[in-house]
Amino acid sequence: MENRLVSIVVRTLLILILLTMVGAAAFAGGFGLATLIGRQATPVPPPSPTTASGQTQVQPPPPSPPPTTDEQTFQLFWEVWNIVQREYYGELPDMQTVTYGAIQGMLETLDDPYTSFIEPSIAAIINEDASGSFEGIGAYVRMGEDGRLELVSIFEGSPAEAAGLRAGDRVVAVDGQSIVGYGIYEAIGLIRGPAGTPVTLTIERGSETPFDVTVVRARLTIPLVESEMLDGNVAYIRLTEFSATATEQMEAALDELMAQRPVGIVLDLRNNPGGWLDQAVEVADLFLGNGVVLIERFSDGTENVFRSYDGEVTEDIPLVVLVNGGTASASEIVAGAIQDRGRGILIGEQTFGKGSVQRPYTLSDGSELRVTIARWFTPNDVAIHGQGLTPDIVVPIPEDTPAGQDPQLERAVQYLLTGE
Amino acid sequence: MLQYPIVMTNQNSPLTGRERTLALALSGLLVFFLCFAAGVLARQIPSIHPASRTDTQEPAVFWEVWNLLEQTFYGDLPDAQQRTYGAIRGALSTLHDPYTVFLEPPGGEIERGQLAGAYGGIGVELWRDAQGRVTLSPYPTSPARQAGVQEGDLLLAVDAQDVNALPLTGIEALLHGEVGSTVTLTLSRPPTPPFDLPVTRAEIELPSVSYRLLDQDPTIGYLRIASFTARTSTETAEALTALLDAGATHLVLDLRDNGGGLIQSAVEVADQFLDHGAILTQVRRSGAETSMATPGGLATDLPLAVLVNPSTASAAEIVAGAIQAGGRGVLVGEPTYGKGSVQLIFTLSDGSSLHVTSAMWLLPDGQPIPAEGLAPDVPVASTDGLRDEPLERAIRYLQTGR
Repeated sequence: MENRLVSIVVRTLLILILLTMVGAAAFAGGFGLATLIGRQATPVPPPSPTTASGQTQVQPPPPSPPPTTDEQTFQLFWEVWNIVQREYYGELPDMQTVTYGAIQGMLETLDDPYTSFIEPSIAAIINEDASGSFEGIGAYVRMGEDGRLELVSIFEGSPAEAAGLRAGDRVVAVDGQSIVGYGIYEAIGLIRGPAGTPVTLTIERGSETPFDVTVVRARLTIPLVESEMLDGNVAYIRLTEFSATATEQMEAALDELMAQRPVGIVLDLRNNPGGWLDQAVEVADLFLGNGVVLIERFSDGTENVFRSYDGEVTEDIPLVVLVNGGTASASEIVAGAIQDRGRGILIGEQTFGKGSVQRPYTLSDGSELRVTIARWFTPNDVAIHGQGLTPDIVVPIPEDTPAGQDPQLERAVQYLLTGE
Repeated sequence: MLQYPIVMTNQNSPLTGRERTLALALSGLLVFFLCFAAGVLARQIPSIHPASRTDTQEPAVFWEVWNLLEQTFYGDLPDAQQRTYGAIRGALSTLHDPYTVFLEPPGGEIERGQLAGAYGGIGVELWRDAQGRVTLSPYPTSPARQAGVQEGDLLLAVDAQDVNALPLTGIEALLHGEVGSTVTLTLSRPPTPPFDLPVTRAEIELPSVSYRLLDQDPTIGYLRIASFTARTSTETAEALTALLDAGATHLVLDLRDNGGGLIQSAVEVADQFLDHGAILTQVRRSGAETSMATPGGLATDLPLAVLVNPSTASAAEIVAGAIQAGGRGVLVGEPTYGKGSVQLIFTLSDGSSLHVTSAMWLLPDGQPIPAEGLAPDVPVASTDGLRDEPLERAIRYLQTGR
């Protein structure tokens, strides 16, 4: 099975970088962080999902010369650029910048926000994140409005925690080099590094004089799953994205939950922006017996049918999936299959509606191209692109809902306990 | 080598300058430039073959993307030309210069314009006389002129809507509409009783220059330049001659909403008002070049007030700046736009065009134009009211010397 990326772009990558808040979902990494971008797609070249080892990159086809007619058409580009080189009053950017600009400009003509180009430094970080683990210090970060990188939260048991870093700390320099005003990926790139090596961060904390903290980097797994037993013996499990370790982490958490013999499971996919297609199929398979999970169709009319199989312990237990407008892409595959096949019901709000599949290609200079290569359809052959899934029980969250209350989760528990 | 300037006003708007929206002004406006004839261009640009692209570091990664899209993209790929245009726009965007831009061949734009419904007018200039009445000056060969509108007709209503209480911009908006549609004017031409006159709207080619003796003070000649085209220099000379013959002893030069145009045209116009000194200096990669005023202008000593506003840009700022710097006249109104760059325009092999910022221009004192524009000597805010406050202020200045 080929590995593909199913992802949602709530915002473009660029916007994300510029956003002062990446949001809690964004892990930033240098600190051992993963950058959870509005899920432009996850990257890592995927291997066959069944073998945990080989992470082989999808290689672009050899640079075969483009058809002559395209070359001739493209001559206009050089006509323009030669004039600019000769006449432009001002500094010209380097050719790599110009090339990347040309690629971005060309992609804009496709009118597909999911087909995107990612520069090498950024591609390296998000690919590492999508692999589910990284080498860094272990903190989620976001870029503050003042251009300072802020630690949003610290991973439990991480080097960052051991070094005494706290949520709210702001990193103004890395190994003596100021990072104020840097892009979030540039900053993360400096903080990350091989496990076992030290990195010195200059920290601003409240009104204290800035001080240095040295952290020894480690290999860290990005936590994707939260689970607990709720009142009434209902199991709750939340998956934050479909990175490469999603299935593994889900299985471990489900084993623990099932050992407590719950009466039902709430699977929380709210604000889960997606990730790898193969992870979506495998996570769906945890809850589904033999049958179709999704149908993938390419522009040449060919299709792939992805199936689930009998054999998991969570295939029969009563199931509710929580969804909302941030439930997208791979999350919609799982939710759609569970709904279509009558395995469980959806509670919450209309989902995002991303029914396209991107495939990542690593290019010769380390940058990455994600191309929309297919559309996917639910087991009942329904297209959700632009539509989303409609919950069986629609439960909005009123604006005046007090903090700490979750009417959607409450409704799910009620459903599992009463059957209605 | 043939090298001549081409027009570049802000827009091909059929409207009078005052009606241009700020958005239009900001978007296109500010460009002046020289244009190389296409033939010249063809000789200048070395033809490029794929093999030579190694000289320009042909980026392999670009073709990797191009090929991957062709092979795998789900959906209809735009044709190679559209993708090339996109690549050009993307490459130019890395310059971060809003004035270096690529424009697709005009054929496509015209087609799009027709699809959108062309925009027309009747070809009149509106102004208020000393009694505040709305007065018409039809352009030569305009639909208004052909329908029988005469110079000095008073406009009472448009499509039965009384206009006397409307600002001029509001009246102009009523006069505009789709090409081919009809608008009915209610006119007064004393002693004739008021009468209705239907006029069919057409695309209006705006004359770049209009003029009259002011109703409020017939010793003051009013000269308005809407843009600097290839004909503006000649039209300005004709207008000045006519105003002087009619007895004008003072001048108001109205450069409001003038988004610029040809730099050479601006230099020639400024030269009519100046008999010595620098008009501007252009600085390009190859060096600096100063244009000097020459003796013999038609209006080098009449008291002069220049009306400016935030849409006075580019070539118009050259004229205003030269007049102000030499102490030749005063600027009345609001600060100007502040655009100090010059663009060359190239016609490319497929008919598309490229504007490239190729020079900066400096005021006569050798300083670049401030980003906040030229500051008026006599600041007057414009109002949306029925009176043209800046014009009234300019008249008062010319009458009183302050």
